[in-house]
Amino acid sequence: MSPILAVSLLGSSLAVENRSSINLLISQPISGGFLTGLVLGTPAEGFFIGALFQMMFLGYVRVRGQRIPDLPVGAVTGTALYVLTYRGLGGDPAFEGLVLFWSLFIAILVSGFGGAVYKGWETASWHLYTLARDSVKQGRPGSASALHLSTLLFHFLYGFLILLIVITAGRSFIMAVATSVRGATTGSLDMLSCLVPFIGIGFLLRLHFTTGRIFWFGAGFLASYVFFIVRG
Amino acid sequence: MRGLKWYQFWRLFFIQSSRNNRTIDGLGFFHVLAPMFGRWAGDRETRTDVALRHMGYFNANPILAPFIVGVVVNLEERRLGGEAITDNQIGTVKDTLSSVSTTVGDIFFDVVLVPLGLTIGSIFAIYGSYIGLAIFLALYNFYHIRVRISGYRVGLQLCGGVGEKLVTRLFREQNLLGGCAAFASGAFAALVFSRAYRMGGVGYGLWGIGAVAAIVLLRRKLSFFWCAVIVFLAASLYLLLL
Repeated sequence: MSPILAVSLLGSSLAVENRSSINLLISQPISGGFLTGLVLGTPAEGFFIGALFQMMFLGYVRVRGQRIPDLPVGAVTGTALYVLTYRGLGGDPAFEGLVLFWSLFIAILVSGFGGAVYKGWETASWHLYTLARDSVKQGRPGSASALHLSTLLFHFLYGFLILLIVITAGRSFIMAVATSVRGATTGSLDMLSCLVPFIGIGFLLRLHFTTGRIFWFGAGFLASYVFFIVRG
Repeated sequence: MRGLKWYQFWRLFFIQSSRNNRTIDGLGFFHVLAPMFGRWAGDRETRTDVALRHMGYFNANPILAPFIVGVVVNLEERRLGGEAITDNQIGTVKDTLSSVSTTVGDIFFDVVLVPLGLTIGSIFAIYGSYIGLAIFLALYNFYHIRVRISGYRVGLQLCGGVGEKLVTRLFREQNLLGGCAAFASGAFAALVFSRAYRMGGVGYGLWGIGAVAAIVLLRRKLSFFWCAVIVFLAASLYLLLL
């Protein structure tokens, strides 16, 4: 099976896990990235990208009514793009930063796009509800149940198509950019792995900025910092 | 497991699939109760009435939703047994429990437990270790599966005193885990700062402080998504210009 097809199938399954209430959280970027890496034969690389993407949204809390970025599909996209493109470029370290930047950036955009699509879907699925209600009124509750379960197919297909399209197009795009730009000029971008986690710290700080918890945040910071200094 | 109705329980794992912005998970709630309608109503007309009654607005934390389903099933069964329970009473209990479960469940799972697990996972991930991922999945699912199953059973069997123990226990553990989550977040921040300093010197450290401050300030006006996009692009620009 083609690696892109395999990753698309994995990602669409994770999209179903995320959008139904199975809620085992294997679709979170940190585990989604690892699983994508596993499918592509490089679990360590997949885990690295998934964890990096996760760190960006570490203090992200799903608040009801708020537009929710589609992190699982984004993470699988980013991981697959990084692994496949970097492999396609022969693993040349000069391109690592560039590939990392574009993979993460496209992953963020896919997450945002997914959030917008699902906002629209929640409006449109009202019609599905009225259809189900009409079925019940006509004495066919089984059809209403079938309509409810059929939405799983939508989640699966959405994830599958997005991944198939974005990974195929994104990979060609990054390869084209990489070959047209000299790798050496973008080499410092590989240090993104050092700076990106600060985004997550900002979100975490805001999350724990309450009377009861900010003390423990400070305590954790100080204790760990002293530990790192002592340990060298 | 005594008391669990498996033919109904598996449906709880798909309750949010058809979410819409008017009745939220109303269709999902209907789907969970669907196998019971034949038992609760003899003729076709009454069955339709019962089905429509359980097809209205439903908005609850999905992990605590089994508890509410259990309570509603319990009330319907007791009514079937001859107790004087009205449609209104069932509706009120359902709505009240939904509000409570949303508050308690969202804070416990989404604000405390998930960030705690993910922070631990991220700390280990910086060292390239999978242990954190295993801890995150084990910690979260320990609570998740337990609350789902026990909530459903409590709802089905008790009803009177509606799961006071369950909510009290979650509240008690929420404080402890909340402190742990904040401590782990602080440890993660220290790790990221010391790593950035080691790899890029004072410049990276200062950039980090600026990025954290920017996120805290931007988040007042912008969504998570836009905050992440802006600071991510700023980080890339900083590295290119360095």
